Amino acid sequence: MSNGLWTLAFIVLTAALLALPFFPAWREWRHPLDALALAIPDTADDSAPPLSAQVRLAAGLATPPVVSASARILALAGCQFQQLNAPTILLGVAKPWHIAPRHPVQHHLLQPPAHAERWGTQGWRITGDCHIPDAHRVQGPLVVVGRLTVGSDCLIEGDIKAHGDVQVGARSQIKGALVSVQRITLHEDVSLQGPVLSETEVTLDVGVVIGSLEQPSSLSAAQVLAQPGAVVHGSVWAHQSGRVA
Amino acid sequence: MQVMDGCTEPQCVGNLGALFMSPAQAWTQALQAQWQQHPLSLLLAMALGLIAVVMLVYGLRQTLFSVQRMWGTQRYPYKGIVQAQWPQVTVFIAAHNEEKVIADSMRALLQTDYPAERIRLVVVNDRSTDKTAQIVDTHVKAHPDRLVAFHRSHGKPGKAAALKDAMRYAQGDIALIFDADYTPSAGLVRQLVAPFLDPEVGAVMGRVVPRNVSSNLLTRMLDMERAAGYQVDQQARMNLRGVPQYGGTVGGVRLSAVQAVGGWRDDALAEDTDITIRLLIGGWKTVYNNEAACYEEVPEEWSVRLRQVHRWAKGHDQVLLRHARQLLLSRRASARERLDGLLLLNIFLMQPLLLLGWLMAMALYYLHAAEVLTLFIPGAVLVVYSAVGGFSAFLQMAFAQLIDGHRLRIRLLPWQLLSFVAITPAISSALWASVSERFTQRELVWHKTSRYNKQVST
Repeated sequence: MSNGLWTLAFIVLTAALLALPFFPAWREWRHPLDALALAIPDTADDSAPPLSAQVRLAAGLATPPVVSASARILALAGCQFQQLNAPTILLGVAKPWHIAPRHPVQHHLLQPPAHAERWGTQGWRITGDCHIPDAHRVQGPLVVVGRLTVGSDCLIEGDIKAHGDVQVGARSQIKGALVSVQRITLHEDVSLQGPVLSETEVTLDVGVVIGSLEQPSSLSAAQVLAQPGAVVHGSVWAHQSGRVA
Repeated sequence: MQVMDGCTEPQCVGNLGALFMSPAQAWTQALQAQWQQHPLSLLLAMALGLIAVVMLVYGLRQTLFSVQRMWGTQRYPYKGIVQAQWPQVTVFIAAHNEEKVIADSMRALLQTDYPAERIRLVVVNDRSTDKTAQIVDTHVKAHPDRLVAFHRSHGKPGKAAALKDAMRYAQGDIALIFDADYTPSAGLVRQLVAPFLDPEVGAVMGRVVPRNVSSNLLTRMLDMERAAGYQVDQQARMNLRGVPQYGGTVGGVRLSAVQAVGGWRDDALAEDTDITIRLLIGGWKTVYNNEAACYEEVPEEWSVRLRQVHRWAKGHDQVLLRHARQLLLSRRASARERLDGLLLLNIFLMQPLLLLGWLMAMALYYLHAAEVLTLFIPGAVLVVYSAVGGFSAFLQMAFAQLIDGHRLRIRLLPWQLLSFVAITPAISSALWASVSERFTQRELVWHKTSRYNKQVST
């Protein structure tokens, strides 16, 4: 074959290769098979309707991914779960279990450390780890770019976020949300009004209470481990696994 | 002179020297020779190599996003906030001559499942000359406890300026913003507010889904582009802890955060990008919620589309010129966020750079710079790779369709080449406009995107 023919064959082949994808493209344009708008589900109510007023989850039995009750869920020791929704979710035992009576505590207002920066209009941002001593009060939102340790009997008035692990000491109260990128450990008798959110794991000790009957809240983490005697009012969502010890 | 195997002694010594030279030394020597003979060609070749590297970086970035979104771990930590003490929120509906769509938008927002006592709807009617004001007033009369009308008759034109004026109607610290052609579902407000319970979140963005997909080829291509932008690009940045972008609608901001970073700017052409970057510099996070989706209308005419993309590009470039240095030096943003933020800010420079690269390649050809190019073989390889790397945008679109379950519309992908060719001049001219306006201090002009609803809805 002469050079001219080779050149012509090359041009034709190249043009064909370039034009080939336009054949189905042309057909889909002129005769659409897939031209509907993406369906958007209505997310007004994405939780399953309650099956009954009370649900009891026992160890060793298969738990559905979503369990809802209109009054109470009792998740007994050893049971595993993913998503629980009810005004009262009792983890481990049939009654909320407070191991220590709440004494009136004189809270001292915590002065922000020297390296704290203003956050928004009334909050603080701390770069590095942060320790709140026992029986102290913190006002306003608090963002900690590090680990956060809250001592016993503290009062936090506002939302908290930490990039590292969070430990909340016994009997402390948080009147806001608690968010952590890492692990959250809530010790005995801690109570929280706002949602508790961790990207990894939340551990609830005996007597921990999240939310209230009047103001339900949420607990969400990849893994949730609850000691018997913790209570959540609202919803618990363990995205990977949830277990009552 | 002693002759050895057909060459003189100095020549042979030179050749032997070349044989024992390291590749780097040989390359440097050749470079010096070229610099003496063809300095212009050498400079052009080096610039072209640099452009190719930049293109390669963006190609790899988009490929990384696509692969991460398709096979990586998905991240949206706020999904579990189902119940909470929901904060007070104000929803602003930005409207300018929106008689065709405003009623549907108000009706949809009135049906939200967000606690009625904690939500306020404010319609920002910015100098409308059609029936928007009458339609809004009719609805306000029917729902005086929940709906507020802000009729703006004068002041600086533009959405950013109108919203800035409307902020005095805000109640609470959270402001959600919708354009008038958006019809949110009942749960959308709750989905958008949930991340604000995290005190570090300054802005939240939902997904925008085209409603008028089937209108023509342009709307179908825009549907693919939007899907790639949200389903893949935004979600991947969320997954990788980068910088999801607040888009100015189907989203919201924390007003105290905006205040902390300097407040609303009414001279920003892309107020959404401006807010995203200023929040980032201030250490605030922007969150993307892929499930908080809402319908919008996309342009059905090329002229409207080109004007829209020109405005986006110009606004983006404006933010780049204003904030790039501050972002680079920000102590509150992580290194990853700074890098992602800078790549995001420079995204509309890619088309002008590509055009420049093509021009340089042609110039080198006419300068007979083949010898120079051989010095930059790796550069030439990069050029070829980045040309292929340009297909990473198409990869994003294809993956987005697969994730959305719209496998068949991937067949439309080749048409995106034409779209790319069409928008490249619009984006390139935007760069010129934003740079010249930066120096001449000329006031920015705001263009409204046309609506395509056929009838007035009351």
